[in-house]
Amino acid sequence: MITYVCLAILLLFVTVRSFIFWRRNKDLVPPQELDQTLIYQINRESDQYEQ
Amino acid sequence: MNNKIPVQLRPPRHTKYVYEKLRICKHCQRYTILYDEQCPTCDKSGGLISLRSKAAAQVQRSIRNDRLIALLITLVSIFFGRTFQEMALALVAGLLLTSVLIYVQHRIKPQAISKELNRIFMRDRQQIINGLIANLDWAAAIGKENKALSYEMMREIATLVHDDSIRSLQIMLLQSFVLRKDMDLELEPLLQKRFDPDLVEYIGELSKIKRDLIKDKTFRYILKYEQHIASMSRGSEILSGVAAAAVRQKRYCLTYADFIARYCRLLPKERFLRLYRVVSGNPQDNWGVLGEEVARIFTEKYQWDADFQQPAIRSNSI
Repeated sequence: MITYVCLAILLLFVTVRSFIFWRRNKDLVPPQELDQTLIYQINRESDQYEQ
Repeated sequence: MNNKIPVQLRPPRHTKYVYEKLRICKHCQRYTILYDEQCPTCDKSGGLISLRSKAAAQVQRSIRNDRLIALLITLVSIFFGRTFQEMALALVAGLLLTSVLIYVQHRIKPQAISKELNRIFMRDRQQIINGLIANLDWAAAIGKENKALSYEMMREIATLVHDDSIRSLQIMLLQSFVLRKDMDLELEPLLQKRFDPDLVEYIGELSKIKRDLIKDKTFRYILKYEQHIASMSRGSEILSGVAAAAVRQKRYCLTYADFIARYCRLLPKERFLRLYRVVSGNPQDNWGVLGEEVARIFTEKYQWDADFQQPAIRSNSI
């Protein structure tokens, strides 16, 4: 009986973790966007920063 | 300036994306953009890793934990099996479900790494800024002993920090060097919003040794501060140098025709010959004041010059 409960838990775990992993990371952030994010984060308080 | 020093500048470190220049020390967790093998903060060598490696390690850790939990549940279900059949079923089902998890994680791993990188940039913003400030302090301190190295360090920092004060420091250092044609120099990243006489002097020097660096952004900067430059001691020399740089392309001649017209009288013969050939070779274009000025100077100074009688050798840019 415990075996089946464990397998059910495993099924639930794999489903939930796969879904969460997919949901959080489904889109690739392009490298150009990573560059923009980094430069924005560093310079956002500077009045000389131009987007 | 007479006390300029001859230096050998290393070429800038090129990466496809700017964020690839940033690294973090595994030991002290400080960020740096400088290209030493040793961490500038804790001095330990071999500890600097790219941010992509850091993000990949974090994603890998999360993936590994999930896999371990899945395997653990599989082992527990096998352990509690009452018959051999139940144990075999638990083993097969456990391995199958774990394989599904591994497959999904493997497929989405590149996306997960890029998302993690994005999260690091936002979460560690202040640590990244602190690391860059430490880099800048170090570059400034080194400037007292080794100006070339200080400039190279600032050039790296300036790829991420877009600030006029760093650009000014870079220009001050560049102005203390004997500039040569073979040097890996840059101009557009050094352009500022405000008027900077050192920058203008630097542009003047580049107009002599590397005029191909003078492009649209620089022309616009010069036009914006033309009156300020004209009032400088070498102002007209610099402005005519920039006009000479504009003459190298027909497009620049057309776009900045009024500016060139104001300084074409000061152009050396070789540059005026180039301008004359561009203007006379394209009578269909509207040259306006520039056309009249070129015709006037030609009549006054070069009408009987043999070089002006020879046909032009076609070239897009000289």
